Amino acid sequence: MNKLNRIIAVFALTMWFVSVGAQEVSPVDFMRMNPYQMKANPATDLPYESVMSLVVGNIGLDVQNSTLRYDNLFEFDAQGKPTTINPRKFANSLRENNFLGINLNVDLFTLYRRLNRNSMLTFNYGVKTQADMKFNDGLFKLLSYGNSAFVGENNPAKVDLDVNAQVYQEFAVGYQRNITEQFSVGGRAKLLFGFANITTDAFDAQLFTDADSYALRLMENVAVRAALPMAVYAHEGELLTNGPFKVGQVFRNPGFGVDLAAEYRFNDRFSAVAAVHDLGFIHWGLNNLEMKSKVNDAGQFYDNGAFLFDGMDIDLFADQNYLNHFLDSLQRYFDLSFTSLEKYNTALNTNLLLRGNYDLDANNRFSLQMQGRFLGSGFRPAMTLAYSGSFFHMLDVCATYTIMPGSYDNIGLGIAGVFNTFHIYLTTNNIIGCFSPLNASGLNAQMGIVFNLWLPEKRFVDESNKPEYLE
Amino acid sequence: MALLAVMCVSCRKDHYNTSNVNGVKAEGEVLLPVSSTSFTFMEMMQKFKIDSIIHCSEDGNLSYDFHYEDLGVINGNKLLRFKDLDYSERFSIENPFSVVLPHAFDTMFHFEQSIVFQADHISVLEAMMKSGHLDFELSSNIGALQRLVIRTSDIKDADGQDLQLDFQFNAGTIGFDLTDLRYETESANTLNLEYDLYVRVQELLEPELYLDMNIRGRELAFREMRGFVETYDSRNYMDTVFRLFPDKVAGSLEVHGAKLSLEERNTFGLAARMIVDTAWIYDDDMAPFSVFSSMPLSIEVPMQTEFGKVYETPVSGIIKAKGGKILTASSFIVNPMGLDEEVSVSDTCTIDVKVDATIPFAFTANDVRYVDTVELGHSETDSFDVIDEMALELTVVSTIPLNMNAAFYIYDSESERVTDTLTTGESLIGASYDGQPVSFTFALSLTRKGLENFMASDHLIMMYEIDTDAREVHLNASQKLEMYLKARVKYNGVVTF
Repeated sequence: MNKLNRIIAVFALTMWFVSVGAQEVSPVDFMRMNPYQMKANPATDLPYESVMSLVVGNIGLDVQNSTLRYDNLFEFDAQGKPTTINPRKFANSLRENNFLGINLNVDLFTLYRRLNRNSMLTFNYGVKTQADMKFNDGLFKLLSYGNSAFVGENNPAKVDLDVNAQVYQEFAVGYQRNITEQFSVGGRAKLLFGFANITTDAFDAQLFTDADSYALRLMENVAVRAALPMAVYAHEGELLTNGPFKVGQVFRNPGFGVDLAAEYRFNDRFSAVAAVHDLGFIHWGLNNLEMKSKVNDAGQFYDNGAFLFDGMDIDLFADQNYLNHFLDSLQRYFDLSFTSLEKYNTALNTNLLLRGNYDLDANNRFSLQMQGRFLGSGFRPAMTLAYSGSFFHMLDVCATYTIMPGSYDNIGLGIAGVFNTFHIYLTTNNIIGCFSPLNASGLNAQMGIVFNLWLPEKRFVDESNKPEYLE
Repeated sequence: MALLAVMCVSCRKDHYNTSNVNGVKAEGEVLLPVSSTSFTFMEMMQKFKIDSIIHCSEDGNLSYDFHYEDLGVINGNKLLRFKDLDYSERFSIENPFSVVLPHAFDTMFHFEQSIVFQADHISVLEAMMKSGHLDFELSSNIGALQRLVIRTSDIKDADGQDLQLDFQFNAGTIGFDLTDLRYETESANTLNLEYDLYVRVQELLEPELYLDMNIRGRELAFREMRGFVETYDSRNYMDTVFRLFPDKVAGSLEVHGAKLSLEERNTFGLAARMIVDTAWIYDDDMAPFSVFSSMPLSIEVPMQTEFGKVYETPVSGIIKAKGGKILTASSFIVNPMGLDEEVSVSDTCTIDVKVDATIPFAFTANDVRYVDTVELGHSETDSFDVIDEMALELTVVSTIPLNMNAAFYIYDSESERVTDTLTTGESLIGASYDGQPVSFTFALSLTRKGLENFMASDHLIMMYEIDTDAREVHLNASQKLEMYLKARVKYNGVVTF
């Protein structure tokens, strides 16, 4: 692997692991025979007596990439081979605000058990990785155009970065109940244990270029909080770990969250769902670190909280020693400070959902869903049109189309085999991304095998294939 | 689905194969403030390392102070001494009959002697000896010399007693040291001696009996004396260099309002006179001009124990900007009138001279040129290949009353040729004659070709032609030059890696 490939691999991995908010819309949410549809709609009345899965019940990966495209990074020859990196082409492809995200969910243990005809108890244990990164195009445009594109007091080159990422365990106990034949509610209470977190309160920089003198004024404000798997402390500018990671530390950084949902069936064909997910927080109380950086008063280039470079004294050009250490000396203006942080809280990426369903018949459903997820200080909406169908009592299919800000090509597909003792499924919410993953706005896959327990398990098995409660 | 993704990528693996990517396309324009410098005229002088010889008055006016000091153009210790003495005298008596005595007997002969010391310019009546030594060598045919007693009332010991010395003859020469003894005489420069010579006599065979005495005096000097000092003169020369601007500055300046003053100190207790017959400022390639309008110049130097100004005159002329040489020749005369007066003089008496020249930085400059060479240290990088054009803009804000026409050349020492020039057309930094800042901006442009020349060269030659539009200008410490150099760099190319 040559150097560039390594760089791209690192970039891709960074994309993979250091971003997204939350799992976006998944076809699983609309597949009526999939037990994990309860994740999106805890009020749904599952057509099972009980289900169980271990390790492979639900593995979901979702990557959202609003603007970064492999093809925009390079120039290609006539044969389509990349020849040179083109920063300007890349910068032009970016929007003013861009988004990268990743969500990796693994449900290690799932057990749903129907208590009676109208209620179900659920239990889930899983591990979640949620990360999102928002960045603007300022840095890339500055690098590709030069600062001549950012001249004047009102036209600084702005660099704005917002990273929020967390890994945590989730123990969820849920309860679903059909209040009436038309109205169902459900909810989950979730005990969380945070493993690691990084939150940027500020990661901003502004570079002003004076139109007359070309004087460069750089202002920066970096404030990042992190909770790490192991104790880290700063010593003489270096970060050192205090002993190895201990398994017992995974049950720390407690948090709490709830999912709530209500479903109302207007008639045989129309129904609506309202839900809120991940309403809660995690209290990070161990191995916390705060990283801050502001321009330091380190000498002649400091001016009122900013780094101001208006040229070197002409005598210094003859001072070879000064020139040799010039860049090193500039670092003193931008020292990062690391301090221990006692505790802090982060909110979960709360998700709001409104869905309307139209059942063409007992096997075919069309849905329109409006969803929005809070990501730090931002909000990421999505709208999905979905079709789900069940065939031959053993085939569950789903097709979705989702639009999100800056992402309009999310065509999803899902397929599942429903057998007496187990349920196997595979879905994606962006089939195009599968064909061109490095040029797609998203990449998504969700799969799993769920086992049915305590047969007979299906509750809707009347001859008309209608759900039992519709009788 | 992952397999599908991998398959899709595999089908277009050339599209995703980055092994042939060998560079980054760089295209843009960077604006940089390269240098921002401000320095006063005084700071410029500090760069020239001549600030120590520049005087800055309270109002900031600058002047070049030349100071020359010659201590002891005439020293008392040159005057207060006798010449070395070599004196011989035979004392003889007739022997009426030749006889050999049956027994030897001791007898004493008494002699008196008056010696006159020679001195060039002094007649001493009284003095304290600083040094001196008298040696006596005696020979005789009378008998065996046993003992010599010398007495003189002209030399007193520390107790004020007449000197009396008693020598036993163990060798042929006897002598004594005069240091710290007092010399007093009624007849100047004279020493009167009496001798008692004791001899043992047995054979008196010669018809003439004699005693030969040789006296030698050495290093006969006085700490102080009372007596008379004749007219005494000493010739003095001064050949020195004064530095103004460093050698990098060429050309000449017509100086205005320069002053030259002489301060002298005369502690002889006698009037003195200085006669200057030569006072030139000159240089190797410059005809000398006389500092004083009329020559010779006679300056009376009164008696004074501290330095006092004895002469001051304005000086004008054209001098080299880098300075020059001063040559003077003069005579110093003590007691020029030859007065016959009794005086007291010590060996510490001197005539000292200070020459102070104050040259205000007020001049007319016509052909001054400052040339400096800066060695260029290029970093080993090929990133310059992508640079299309580098436009440098130099803005100068000046309150200095000098026109400076600047030119910058790139020079390659290996090929010994000027490879390019950075300036196009006139690059004049105009003078500020009214103290108000004047601003000038001019462009220095380097195309890619010029940049290649720049990178291939190792020296930058900066040349400034300086003039004052034939005006007399006054330079002040607070006058300053602000220089702002900024660069606009256009780059367009591929940076390979």
